[in-house]
Amino acid sequence: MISFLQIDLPAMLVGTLAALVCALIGNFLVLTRQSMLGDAMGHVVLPGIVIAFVLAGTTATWVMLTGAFAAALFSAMLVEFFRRVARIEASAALGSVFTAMFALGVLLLERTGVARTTFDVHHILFGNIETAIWPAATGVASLFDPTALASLPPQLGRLAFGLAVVALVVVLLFKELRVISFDPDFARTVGIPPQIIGAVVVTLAALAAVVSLSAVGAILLVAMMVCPPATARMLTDDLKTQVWLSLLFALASGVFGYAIAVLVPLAFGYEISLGAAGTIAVLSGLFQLVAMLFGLKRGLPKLT
Amino acid sequence: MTIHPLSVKNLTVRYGGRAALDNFSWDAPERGLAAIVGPNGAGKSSLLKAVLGLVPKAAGRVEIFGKPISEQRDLIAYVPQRASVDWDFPATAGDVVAMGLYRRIGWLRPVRAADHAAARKYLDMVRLGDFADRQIGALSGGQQQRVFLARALAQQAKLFLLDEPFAGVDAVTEGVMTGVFRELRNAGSLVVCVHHDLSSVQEIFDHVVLLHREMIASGPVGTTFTPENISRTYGVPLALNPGNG
Amino acid sequence: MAELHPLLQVLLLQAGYNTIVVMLGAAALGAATGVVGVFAMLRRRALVADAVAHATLPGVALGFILAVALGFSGRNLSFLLSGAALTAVLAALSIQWIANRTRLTEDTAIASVLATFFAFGIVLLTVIQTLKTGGQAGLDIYLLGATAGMLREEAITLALFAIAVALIVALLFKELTLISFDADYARAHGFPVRLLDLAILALVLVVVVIGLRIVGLVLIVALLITPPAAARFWSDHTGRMTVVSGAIGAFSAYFGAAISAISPDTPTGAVIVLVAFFLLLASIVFGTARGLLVRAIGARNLRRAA
Repeated sequence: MISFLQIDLPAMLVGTLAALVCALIGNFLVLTRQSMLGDAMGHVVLPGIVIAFVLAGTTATWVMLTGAFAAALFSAMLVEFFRRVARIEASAALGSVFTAMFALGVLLLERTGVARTTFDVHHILFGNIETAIWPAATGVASLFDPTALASLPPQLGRLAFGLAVVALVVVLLFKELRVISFDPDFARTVGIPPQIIGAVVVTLAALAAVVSLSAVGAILLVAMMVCPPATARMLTDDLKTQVWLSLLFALASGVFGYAIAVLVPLAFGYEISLGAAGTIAVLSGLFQLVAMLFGLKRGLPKLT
Repeated sequence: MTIHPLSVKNLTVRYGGRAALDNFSWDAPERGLAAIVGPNGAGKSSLLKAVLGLVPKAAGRVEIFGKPISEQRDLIAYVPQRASVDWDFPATAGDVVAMGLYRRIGWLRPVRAADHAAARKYLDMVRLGDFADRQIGALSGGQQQRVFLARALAQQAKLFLLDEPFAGVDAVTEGVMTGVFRELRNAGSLVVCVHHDLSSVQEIFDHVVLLHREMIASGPVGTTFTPENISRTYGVPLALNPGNG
Repeated sequence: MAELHPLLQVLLLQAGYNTIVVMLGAAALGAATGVVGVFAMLRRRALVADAVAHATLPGVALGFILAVALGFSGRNLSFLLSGAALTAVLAALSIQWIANRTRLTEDTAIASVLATFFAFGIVLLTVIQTLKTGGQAGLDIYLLGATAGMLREEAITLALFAIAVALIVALLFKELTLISFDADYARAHGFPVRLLDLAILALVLVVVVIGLRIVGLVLIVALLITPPAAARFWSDHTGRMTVVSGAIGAFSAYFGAAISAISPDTPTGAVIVLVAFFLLLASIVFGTARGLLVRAIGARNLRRAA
């Protein structure tokens, strides 16, 4: 029990919260055909995080957030410059910028020596849920003990904050998001500016990326932004139902994905280990596969 | 029995469950300029695309000079809608016209200087000879349409199929294109255009097909392009007197 | 004669024979990606290429496991690269299936396939790390690439593949240009568009797989996107643009390999990508066909004339 509280609970919470925050905003990326933006976000914030750490010398939440946001903003501006001023085709503009930013991040990691002390590029790529631990937990009572709760892994606070902000904005702007997602032209005619709502979506995606990245890695990020909403998309045409379903699949991926990562090695006597970020992401992809087969059987129409 | 350049029998095209074109039959005239007109969504482009094999046929048959299109590709030239391509593409007007020669050049062989010279000749025919080295996006809409026409000319086809060639073009282009069409007619070719502008049908074309998912009427413009047929096609009596067109 | 800077020494091919072969192999790879990338970009397949690249990871891992299970060395290149090609093909098919058959759009298909395949690869890698076989550390280089420890034979093999790829593009050049510009026109005139699309995808697949060793699967897509994007600023002809793109790709890879030759712990892939990106920035400004400078001069002349 104590080991569950100290090791499994915090890690499972980190994985699940990251899955939820990414899936929530991912719904609107999928509906506005910007799924690859989720992938780009995971890449571009890396140099921001590294530079912020080198400059400030700490991994405090606000430092990481500032660095990552600066990098995301800079990248977004660069992509817009490439598209509008230099007239590079959209996906090439995105592709050249996010790969260059990630390359810069990797190079900075290696050249500043940060890679050997604080960040590991593998953690960015693979995720690193397992390091979220709660040594202060001594029993169920710790769940109600403020001092023990205060020493919960810092990622948890960051993720809870991110989830709260994203959820708040989605609830407040739900009507506008719905219109933008299904019919941007109509939105303009009823006085909803698509660019501003679009910018809000991208900003929230950046926030989700920032709070998740250092804990769960870039790949779980993309998987969670795209797979649960895509799974839900296969099962319903109603936006509200889709959002709730996506959260349900994110939750299921987080909990069961983590459980698989723990239980499979247990069954094999610790001969092997599985990375939990990977198992969570694979599970979300499997959910999507099943939903796609099911949706096809039901003959849900191809939308244009 | 005459062999028609284009013969369509009982053609049906469906998107999803909806029929865009229903049991359409037409034997095109041997030569001349034919317009396919009808309201938006009447299946004009679908007809052209089904003839070319770009969309699947739900039913029916299409013959080009008496044979399936797969055996007659060298006899046809297709001019798609201008909106269908990326005008930022790295190609000059001369490059695009040379594409009309690719089939004849054949697989694995490069485009040679002689081909570029030939392309230049076709550009001259649409009065764009001086624009051969201009990037295609730097041309006006009418000039782009003429480049497409020059590419079709380069194919030296007998049957020309054009999708809305007069849409949004300037007066010079319209004049050049009608001139080229007449030369093609005189040389014995058939030019079929999907056309949207009812007011210019009589001026440009000598045959017309009135289409609204199914064939409404077809024949020489003088006898077929009547107010009755037009209002049957568009579903409303039009305040247009083609007699004055 | 004054002592040359070590980088300059390497760049001027004064390093050891092995280093030179590796650098030339990298240059051949860069040229091939630059050439193929032109059509991947013009035919809008650049992001599919990214998914395909990430999807090689589970294949590399499975190849390793299979090689070890059969008693070969885990670093056996033919096992790793066959595995990579296999899962990459599977990913390409999955994307096509999702985009064509389900209601999900292509961007969602690409992103979900990329993430799921890569995640599966990660799970396999974490399994491999706990296997008691040794040699697994070698798998890391396929993520971000390395030139360190590269054998002369490997470099020569990938150079031969790269040359073959460039040759195929040259032979199919006008058909590939045609379907990229105007697919409907090509189809209407009897060109096998689907087959040619498949050829582009196959060529992408080959350069991705041979690029794994030097550039790594995370960033190889940059070599397919950035050189063509840069080359577009230098020419309005597909042909000349393809040559420039190949040259930019070759230079980026050569330079990146040289830098990683003098500082071995630098991730080769990252350096190559950054060199290519700087060339893109320079091309945006100085490109003779549509660079910002010539466009500004053109606009000024137009104003003067008016």
